[in-house]
Amino acid sequence: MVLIDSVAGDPSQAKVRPPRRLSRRGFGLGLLLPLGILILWEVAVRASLIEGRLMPPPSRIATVFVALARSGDLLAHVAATLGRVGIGFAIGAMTGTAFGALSGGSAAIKRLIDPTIQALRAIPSIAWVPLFILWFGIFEGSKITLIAVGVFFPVYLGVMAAIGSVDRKLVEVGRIFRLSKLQMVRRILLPAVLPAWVVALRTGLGLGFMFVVAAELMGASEGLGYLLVDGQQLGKPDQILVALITFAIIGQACDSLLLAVTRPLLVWQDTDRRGS
Amino acid sequence: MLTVDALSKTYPDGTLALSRVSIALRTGEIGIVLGASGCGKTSLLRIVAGLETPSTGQVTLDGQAIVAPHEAVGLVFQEPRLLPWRKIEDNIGFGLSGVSGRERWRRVGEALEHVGLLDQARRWPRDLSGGQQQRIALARALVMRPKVLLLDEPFSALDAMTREGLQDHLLALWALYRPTILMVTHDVEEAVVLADRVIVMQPKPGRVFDDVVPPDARPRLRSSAAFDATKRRLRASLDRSLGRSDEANARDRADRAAAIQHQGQMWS
Ligand SMILES: Nc1ncnc2c1ncn2[C@@H]1O[C@H](COP(=O)(O)OP(=O)(O)OP(=O)(O)O)[C@@H](O)[C@H]1O
Ligand SMILES: [Mg+2]
Repeated sequence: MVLIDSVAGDPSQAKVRPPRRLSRRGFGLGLLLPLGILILWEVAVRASLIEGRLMPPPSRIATVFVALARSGDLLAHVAATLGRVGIGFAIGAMTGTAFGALSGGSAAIKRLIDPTIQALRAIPSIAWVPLFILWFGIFEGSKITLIAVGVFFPVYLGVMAAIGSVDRKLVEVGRIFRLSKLQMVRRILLPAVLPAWVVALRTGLGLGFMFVVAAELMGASEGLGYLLVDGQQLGKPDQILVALITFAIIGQACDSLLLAVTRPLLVWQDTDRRGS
Repeated sequence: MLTVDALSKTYPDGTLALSRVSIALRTGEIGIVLGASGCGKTSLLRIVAGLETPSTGQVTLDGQAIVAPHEAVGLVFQEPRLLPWRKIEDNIGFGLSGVSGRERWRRVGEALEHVGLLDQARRWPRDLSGGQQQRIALARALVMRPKVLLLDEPFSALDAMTREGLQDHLLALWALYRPTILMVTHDVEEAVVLADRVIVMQPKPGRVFDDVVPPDARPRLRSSAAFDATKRRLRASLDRSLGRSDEANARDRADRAAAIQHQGQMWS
């Protein structure tokens, strides 16, 4: 007891981290190019080298961004888009995980359902749109279904492959310690599958954002996709660019959130590979 | 008493891995199974551990048949097989889920101390060297206080120095609880250091070829004459188990030595 506690505080066990300064300098280096482009762009527009009406300068984009944010419009559009992605992602991720687990866990079930799922996967998801609109209407139903379908496939494939590739040698360790079926799942299979599951979810989330754009482009009265269409129809490239930037921000934020939520479960993995 | 009685194993693909292998170990004995690669040593151990079912024959522990992994039987695989998502202390405590907190930590700490890695308790398996991981695997089995400990070439992937250290270590640990040990190796010296009995196996199909009891008591000094004599005796038996005569082997060795010398001259 005492001995173990003394180990816990052993400073020599502190994890060696790569020096901070180096990574910060790397980050600064990465900023150089976009900043340079922004400055050149701004200068080029002001010097009338390029036409500001089609290529609004960064300062103008920033102004529009702030105005949209101030009025609360931007927040409403972001909320609409996030709501769709959230619900669609949740449905797609849950069903994908469930079916992936079934296929990965049982050869018989895999033989039963996998060919059908693979056949459906051969259809480009966007091609479903007309049918979904007929079935679920022009409003939220068809949009969320499309997103869920987009998320489903990568999650299904990832989970199935992950379960199939669980190290049999570790399963044998479980057998030697006489784990029950349930214990085997909880203590060996789940932790072994977790990293691949997170990767599958991240891929699914990325596709979720891709399909929310498609869904909102096909007709919506709010959402970032609506901002895109509206900007095109009214000839407001600054609004389009604001929507694009917002997409980048919330996409990245959602991915980081997913990583942060699952990180405690994956600390055992090589720190170097994390966040790639 | 651990008895392996007329064990045969034919794998589904038709490979006959074991043919009527019988071994009897008294409680607390160290039996070493020595044999060339592919002679069925791992198959034998996996059947004794209850991971694999024999085609014929049976394994009994104190009169009770073993047909599935048994709580009194521990197995250390050829590789450490630590669970990468558990810290070292939790790997060792893996089989102790039925034991309450305080007692559990006492036993984990004790096992860590026995393999000399108490200071590594809070690290991840990937942060340990191969030899350290193998010691943790040993501790993970020992912490269960098995009556029978099965070891499948646990030190074969390690360098000679680490291996010798671990062999001595294993003997010291064995002296504490006196479990019955059935250990597989293809290293003659390892067999001489550890064994109460050496069972030499012959390949294709795997069967018992020879049963040797080293005459001198442990600890056996690697530099002693008796040690060398037992080593020679086992090596000869091993060679014969492979169907090769002593003279042919002697000629082989001389040829190889000459070839190496020749190479040495070429490079110098
Ligand atoms: N699961 C299996 N299916 C079919 N054949 C197998 C299987 N496992 C082992 N064998 C075969 O059985 C024979 C004995 O294998 P085994 O692994 O028991 O040998 P070994 O003595 O442990 O060898 P090594 O010293 O190389 O570990 C070999 O011919 C091997 O190819
Ligand atoms: Mg083997």
